Amino acid sequence: MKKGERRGIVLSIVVLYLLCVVPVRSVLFYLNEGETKCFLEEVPEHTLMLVNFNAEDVRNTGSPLGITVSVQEPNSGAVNYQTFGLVNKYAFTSEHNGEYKICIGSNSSSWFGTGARLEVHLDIESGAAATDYSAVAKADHLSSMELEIKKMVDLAEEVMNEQNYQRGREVEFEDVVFTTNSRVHWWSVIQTILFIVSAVWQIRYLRSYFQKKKLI
Amino acid sequence: MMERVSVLRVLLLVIGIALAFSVSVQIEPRTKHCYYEKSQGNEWLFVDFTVTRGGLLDVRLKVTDPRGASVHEELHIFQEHTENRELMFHTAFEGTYSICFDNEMSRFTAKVVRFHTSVHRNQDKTDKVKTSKDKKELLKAEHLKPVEQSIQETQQTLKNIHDEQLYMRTREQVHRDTQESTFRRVYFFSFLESAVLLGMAAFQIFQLKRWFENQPSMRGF
Repeated sequence: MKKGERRGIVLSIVVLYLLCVVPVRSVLFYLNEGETKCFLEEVPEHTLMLVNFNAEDVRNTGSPLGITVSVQEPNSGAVNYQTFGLVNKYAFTSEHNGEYKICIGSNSSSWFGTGARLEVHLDIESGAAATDYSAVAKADHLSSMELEIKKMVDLAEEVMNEQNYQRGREVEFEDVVFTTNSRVHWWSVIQTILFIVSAVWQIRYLRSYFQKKKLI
Repeated sequence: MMERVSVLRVLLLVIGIALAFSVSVQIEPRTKHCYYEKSQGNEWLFVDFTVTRGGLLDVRLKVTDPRGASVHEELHIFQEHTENRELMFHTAFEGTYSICFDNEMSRFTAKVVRFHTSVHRNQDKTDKVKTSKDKKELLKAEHLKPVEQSIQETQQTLKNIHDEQLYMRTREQVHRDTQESTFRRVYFFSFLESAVLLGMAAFQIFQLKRWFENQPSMRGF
């Protein structure tokens, strides 16, 4: 084995090793009864999103509690609202580019406030990290090598999606910049004309006023 | 050449990690949001955060230990540098540490904060207890077939590319917001300027007229 190759292998191992201990995107927070906390997630279209939560009543009131998950679309503001038990996963695919607002709230089915306080562990994943590869392997009967290749293909698609998204945003922004540029240009011209007209008006008005008062 | 590429890859990985694993929240004016991390004591708490939208891009961070005493408090303004602010604290006590983002100093603007918190046993963000066993594991893992190894490398490179894209996306968003704010200011001040100048012209004429009319020698015209 050449020296360069060996170094490459060791480096890959180290990098993989580092990656194994890096945690997923998880947050820990508390929800009082009826409270909602929201998170923003900006994704390109056709991205799989997974909301994974694990809630526990720290005050052990024993009352029946549920978690409500609501997802708000970026442009239309349409909200998709669902109720689950305390430990669950919710997956959806983004139909549009943009920022999705994912809100987690507590929901109790009893009439009176029970004073419950939920400790919630929340994970929000998108793209390849949101896919359950063991399920995919079973469904399509893939060998471990084929599964790794599939993971790689999914990652490459994620990169491509992101690039397309960026390209679209850049086009939008270019429009804004050019519109502003031409507006500033036209406004300067109009403003100059306005000022010339105003100066001419001033002089003519004064002249006619003084002529009327027989000073000139 | 090989070494430079390797170092770059590891560096990209480290930069990428911070942002790729963060969560975004919108903090309304006059409110604060608190998030928690559990520690078993004698560990390291990592917090990295940045403000991506809202006014001066400022937010107050407050880290509190399980007894309620403040570990760290700072008001950070991200206007000039949009890089993440990375902080590391040694957790002396066992329990739940709270990390609060405070927007109470703002009256009208909401702030969007991206942050990531984690607790690790070691300062290099790993949980491994360093023993000679780890070296043996490393050596064992070298028996990967070349194809598998190359697939793993490609996957890692793709992940790095994606992380880098997410980082660029955040920076682009901040710059775009600044530009849009600049455009709004240009519009507003152009109109204001025209209105003021035309108003002044009219005012000058009518003021002159009044002065002439007030002259005693002119009365009676």
